[in-house]
Amino acid sequence: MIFTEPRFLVFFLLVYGVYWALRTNGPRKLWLLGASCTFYCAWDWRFLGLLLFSAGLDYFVALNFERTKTSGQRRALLALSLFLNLGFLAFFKYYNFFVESGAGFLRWLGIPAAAPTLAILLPIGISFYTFHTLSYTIDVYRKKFEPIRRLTDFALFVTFFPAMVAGPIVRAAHFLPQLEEKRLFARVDVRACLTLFLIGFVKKGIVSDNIAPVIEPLFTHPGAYSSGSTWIGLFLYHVQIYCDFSGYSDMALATAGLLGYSLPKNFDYPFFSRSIGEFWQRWHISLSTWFRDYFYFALGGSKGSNFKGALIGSATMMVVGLWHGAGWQYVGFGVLMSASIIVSRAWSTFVPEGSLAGRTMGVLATPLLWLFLFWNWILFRSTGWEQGWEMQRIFFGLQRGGTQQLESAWLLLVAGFFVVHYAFYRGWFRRFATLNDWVYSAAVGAVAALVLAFMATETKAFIYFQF
Amino acid sequence: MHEPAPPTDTPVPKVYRPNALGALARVGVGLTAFVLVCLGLRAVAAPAGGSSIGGKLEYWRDHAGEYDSVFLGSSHVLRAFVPAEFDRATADLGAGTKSFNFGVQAIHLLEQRYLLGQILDQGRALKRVLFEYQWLTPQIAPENAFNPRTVYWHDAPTTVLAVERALHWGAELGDELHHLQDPARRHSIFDVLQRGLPPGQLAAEEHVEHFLTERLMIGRGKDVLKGLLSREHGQSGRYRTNHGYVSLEEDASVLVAQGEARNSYSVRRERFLANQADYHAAVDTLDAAPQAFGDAEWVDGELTRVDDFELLASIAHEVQARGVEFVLVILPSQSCNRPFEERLAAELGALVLRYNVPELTPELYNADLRYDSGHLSAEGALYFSRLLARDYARQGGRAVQVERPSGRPLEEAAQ
Repeated sequence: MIFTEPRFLVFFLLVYGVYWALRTNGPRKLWLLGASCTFYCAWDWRFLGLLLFSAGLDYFVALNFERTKTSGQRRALLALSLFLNLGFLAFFKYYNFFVESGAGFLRWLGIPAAAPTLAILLPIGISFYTFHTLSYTIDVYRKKFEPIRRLTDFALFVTFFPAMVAGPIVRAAHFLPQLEEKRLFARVDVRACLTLFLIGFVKKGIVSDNIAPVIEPLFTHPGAYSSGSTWIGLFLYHVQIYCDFSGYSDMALATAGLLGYSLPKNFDYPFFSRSIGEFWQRWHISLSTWFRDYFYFALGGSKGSNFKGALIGSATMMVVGLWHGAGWQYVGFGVLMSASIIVSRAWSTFVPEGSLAGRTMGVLATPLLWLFLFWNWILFRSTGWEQGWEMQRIFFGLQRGGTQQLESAWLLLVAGFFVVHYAFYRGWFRRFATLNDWVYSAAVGAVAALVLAFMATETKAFIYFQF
Repeated sequence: MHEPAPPTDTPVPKVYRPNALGALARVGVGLTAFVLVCLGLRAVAAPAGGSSIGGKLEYWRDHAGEYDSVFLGSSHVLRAFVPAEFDRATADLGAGTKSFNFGVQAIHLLEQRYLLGQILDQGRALKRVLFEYQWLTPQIAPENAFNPRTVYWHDAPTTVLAVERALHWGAELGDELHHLQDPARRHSIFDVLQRGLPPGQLAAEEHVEHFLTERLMIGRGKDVLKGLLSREHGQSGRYRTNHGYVSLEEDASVLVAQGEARNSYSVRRERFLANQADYHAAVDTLDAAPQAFGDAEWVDGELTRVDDFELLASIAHEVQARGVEFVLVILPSQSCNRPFEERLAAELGALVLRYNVPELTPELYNADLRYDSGHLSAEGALYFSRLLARDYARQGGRAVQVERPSGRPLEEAAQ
């Protein structure tokens, strides 16, 4: 079940109606917990046990931090949580990748080795909910946060359906305090939430899903397409991946908002960034800040020399790359991002802003960032290392492309998207929020009809679900 | 940055909230706007169903008044009925017609019934409808669910009929429903619960979902744009010259001209020529057995097929109630259900013409007049159109009993 499916509408209306009809906070939270488990089971009921086990584990680990007497015991408990949570993630997501890569390496050395791979299904959302629970355990370990007493509250934090399967990655410090207080319907800005949901729906249902079938063959058979088409396809993917993921985040935020809860913002117009560092402050913010706080800072990235910081920063980007998927192309994505962090840091250290080079970079920063992102998207989207390598060669003009073409008219759609996107960025649509109730209601109804008409008939799963 | 922000936990002033009645009124305004826009989009949209069916509907919308006869059916009709030849033959036999081939590939009986409604609504000059006999598949093929071609015919009357027939035939339906075929949904709790429902109810539910999709204009954006730009569906112009008829040879040559020397049509032809023994065995079975199903190559054999007399009878009566003659035609396929065909002939209350008896019309099963195992060649289509004209004229268009074709070549029979 995804947010753009009709059955989600039915599901949510039921959840929403009953939720606000209940008068006290306890039953409301239990209702949301039940709804969240049902939402998860709409994907695959068999992994609900794993999700609840993960939640239960961290609940008890955190409670036992208080009862332990020595720091060694506390560390052992934390290690248990990390080992089991990351162990599940590693097993379900990376087992086959590591086994195949290891066997391949041995064969490369001339040692015969078979890869005992398993037919493993990836539990949906495991990369997200594992990080939800880990943030809680680590914060309690660091004594930044008191352990929560109510198991059901903690389970709701981990399973909360708007954010469970594809983020944003929610921190305990952000969400758990909200569970303490009864949510007031009077404080819910229904209009803002509806608007945000519609915006997310347009991004996902109209833009992303309509682009998906156009670029699919290009990434599957990159050698068949001309160099110009490769560029058009990358422009389209640039728009698609943003619309797909930020559209999902918009709908997640809006859905949570309608229930009176807030989720952390995940996107902040990343394509208008002027450096790779800024890009990561605006793209998948909940992931980048998670890695910043629990990985980069934990390794001492913010202390010591610039060199050390760059080194740890690039290591962080490698892990971020691998978080996105089990494949060498994601490792390559991480390496490119790491290299860019180092280059970016070196540039800002050695080139003064006011110099000619600094001023030139000021003008070219965003186009260069896009060019760099295009290069990254090749690795990120390619169906395998070989396809990615072939597409890179065509992209950089090192290999002649094929004869198949993508319509250049698609660039008009890209341009149109960025005009609208820029208009939002500049706040030109703020007037919409100040329309009177009657006009606003009619506008929402009309826009909803248009959205349904222009949405793609085949609903694609959100790209980030696979992560 | 300036997109509307969801509520936060920082102190937020109370949001202005209308009373319950006011809120309902605002929802009502929103719904009204939604419905009005849906209706507006429908009004400007080009005909639905994809380029092939949309093109034919578009052509019919503009030219329906020119025809007094229409032959509605599947690709068997599309490839077998040459209107110009039929009209020439009926004129020679003293009962001139002006006919149109409304054959559509892979048509569903319920879709056929929907198209019939469209044809009758716009065909004010219509005097007769030749309707290809088809069995009913009460459920929707999983691979076709929610594609434009499956959605478009789910208007209210057809959906009601589809639901009614799905419930009626529920006991006949197997377990081959969509959720069992989609591994991604096999362990979804909703699909697991759905499996507890009777198959007929599941099939009916799916038709209702398609109806809602159709009513809400979901995914019809391209048709809306086409309608706004007044662009015709690609194939509309093609029907002007041949009145809806397109031979397989013509389709194949178009692809060859586009550089696809080896295309799906040529492959079909090659397969047919290479498997002549199988073809003749199937034809022999058709002659010998009271029931046979030899069309597995052309239809989804996994789906339940039922011979629905009540549905066919209601369609016949619907046409006759409008003062239009209804003729049921059984095309020269490789399937038969003799007892059911006899019942149709005896009880339908309309002329029934049968061409699936190789013993009686051996020419139609002659490999030389066939393009492949399921369809006639261009030459075969000319022959069949003359044969149909003769049989129709002989029956005066009013007889209800089947008069079996003589089995001799048409030229000989006409002497």
